[in-house]
Amino acid sequence: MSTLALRAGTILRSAWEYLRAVMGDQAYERYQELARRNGEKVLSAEEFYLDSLKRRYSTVSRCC
Amino acid sequence: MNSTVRALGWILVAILGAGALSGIAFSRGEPITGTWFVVAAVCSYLLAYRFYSAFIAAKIMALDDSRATPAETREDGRDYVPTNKWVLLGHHFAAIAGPGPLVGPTLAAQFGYLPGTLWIIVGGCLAGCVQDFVILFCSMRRGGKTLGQMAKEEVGKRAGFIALVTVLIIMVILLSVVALVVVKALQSSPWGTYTLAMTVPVAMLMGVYLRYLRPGRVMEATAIGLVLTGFSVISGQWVAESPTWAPFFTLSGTTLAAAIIIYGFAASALPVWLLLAPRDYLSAFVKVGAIVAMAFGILIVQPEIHMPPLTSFIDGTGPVFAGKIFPFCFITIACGAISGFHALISSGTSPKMIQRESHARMIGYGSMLMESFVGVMAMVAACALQPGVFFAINSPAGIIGSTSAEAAATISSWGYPLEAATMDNLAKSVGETTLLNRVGGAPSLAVGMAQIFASTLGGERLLSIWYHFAIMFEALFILTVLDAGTRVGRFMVQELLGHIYKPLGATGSYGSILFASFLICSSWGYFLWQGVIDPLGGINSLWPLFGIANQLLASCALVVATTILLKMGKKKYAWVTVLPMIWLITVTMTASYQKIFDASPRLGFLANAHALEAQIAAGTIAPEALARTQHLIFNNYLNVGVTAILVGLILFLIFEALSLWIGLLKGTREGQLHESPYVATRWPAEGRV
Repeated sequence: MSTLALRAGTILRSAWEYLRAVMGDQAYERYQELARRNGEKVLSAEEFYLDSLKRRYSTVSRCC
Repeated sequence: MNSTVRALGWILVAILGAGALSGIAFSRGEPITGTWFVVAAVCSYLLAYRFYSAFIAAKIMALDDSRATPAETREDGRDYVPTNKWVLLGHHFAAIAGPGPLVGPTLAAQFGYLPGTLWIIVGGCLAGCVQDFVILFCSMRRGGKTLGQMAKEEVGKRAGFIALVTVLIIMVILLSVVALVVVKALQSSPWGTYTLAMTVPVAMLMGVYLRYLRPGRVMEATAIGLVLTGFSVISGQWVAESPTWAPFFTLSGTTLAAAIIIYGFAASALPVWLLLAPRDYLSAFVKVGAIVAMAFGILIVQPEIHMPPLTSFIDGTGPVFAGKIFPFCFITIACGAISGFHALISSGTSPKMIQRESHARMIGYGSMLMESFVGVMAMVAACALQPGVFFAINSPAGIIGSTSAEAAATISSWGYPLEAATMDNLAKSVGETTLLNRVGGAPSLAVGMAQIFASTLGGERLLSIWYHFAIMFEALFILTVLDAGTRVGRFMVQELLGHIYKPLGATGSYGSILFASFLICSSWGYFLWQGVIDPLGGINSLWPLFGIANQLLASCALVVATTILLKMGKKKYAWVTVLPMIWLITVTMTASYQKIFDASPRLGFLANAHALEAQIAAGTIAPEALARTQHLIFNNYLNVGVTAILVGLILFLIFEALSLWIGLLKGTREGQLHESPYVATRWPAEGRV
């Protein structure tokens, strides 16, 4: 039973992480890591979020 | 031994798929269920993915995992982001899946279930997936360039300009037609209108949460938004039953059209974080969730198909839209089989996020297979309705009348028995006053979906909730297309205006933003208005126009793809893009010719204009209807103009490309390929470090 619960927990956690990745929840963490590695000025979470929206919605991002 | 087992497995899949397809094709009167469609589609997709896409990947593209992708060479954590292939599959599918594969197959069900289903499966595997995959590959090999940039570099300077203008025209028609679908779905429906109206403050609340409270925490905000949206669907019933609130949300077509135009303007001019982005998150979740639920629902319920394989309307006399099975079945299905718009997504953000070249196969070809499957499910949901009910919902009042008795008498006379009480009871059970003349495909799809969902969960008692959930689901992501499309259209208008007068192209100037937003909204708003006041329901003229425009853009993408294949020295395999291109050009040119010149006033724009002019000349038009009739005449000429411009632009592009192809094949012209130079990947073979 406990193995089953453990497995279910792992599946749920993976699904949650997958959804976070698809929806862009992890984008800032990834950007931060890269900017630090490259020694660039790191934008705040709000600045990064607004910047990513500006980029996404200035080109065709949704289809018919 | 292993290879023998694998080969036997694939033979089994082929036999199963062929059996299901034969069952669908040759069933004459025997009851068949939606499961046959699912099995036929899934087996065909598995075979196409395993063999055809592998052939394209190996023989034509020579995908090479030792070669660094733009996501690696230009990684910046913003646009160029190496992404896990399953995550990117989710991204890409959410971007390409829109209302097209749901509405198109529903409308095409007027020909019966067979032609549409076959085209969705065959067209998807051999045309749509190929286009998406090849364009994604080409863009990936060019640092993530857009279709327009690739057309300019590989075909010629004018080709780039043609691509920009074509996309802008298509955008205008697309936005008007999807807005019309929403108007027809919400007309005189207080429940639906209230639910959709509530998504605006919900989205704005999410926007504030994402901007100020928890920046970028999309999942948290979406979870809040989903709960509130679910509540708005349920509370819609109270509003619809309230004598105070119901009249407030019971709107006519013209009022709804005006509200949607104002909304589009606001979405284009307001900061993107406030309305557009949060609505997009909400819509992506609801969209994918509803599609997955529909797939499970069809498998569990196994709905019986009531529509015949072929109806008498293959001769072009159908009430939903005019035109014979060829070419209009292929024009109407649109995105379920192939969509030119996908080429814009495949040359947009996705190529900048691919981690390995080999992933392009799953992202490009695989995503389109999933979209094609959505089209098959929509066909099942529409064909599970009794044909009489289907035609009563999807036919305009001008053809079947506006009362249940008139509709039942007319539709029964076509050979599809329908009783007036059936429509009255159905409307009552889904919480609407009427379901007659709700053209546009969305309400009939919602009824089909609601019946499948209710059979799985809740039974008849929850039918009205499921119906309005389905309407909300369709309208929500249609409005997302409207928001995002109007905004991109505004940028395109600014880019074009900037060539005439530089300040008008300044994307940071509020005056320029408002002016360009006004231009784009009034353009699609005009076509929307045209559709709302059209006595034939609007869909009859606008959906084929959208289908023609969308398929012409696909032809444009395949012309670019063919040019690149020839330049790569893959003459032997050019048929992979040339055959779907020839088919699409044949279909779109025939449809365009018929829409302009056909002698039937229901089909031909010119014939319709001449018929109305003759009525005015004969004095049979009442004085109060004169202005409206002159408006309809003008609209017909406008539609002729738009169709002719689109055809002219694409023919120009084809002739420009043809002269290049002949030169390349004869060896008299040198094909300079604009691919990024080879850079070896720094990442190990299995995933990135």
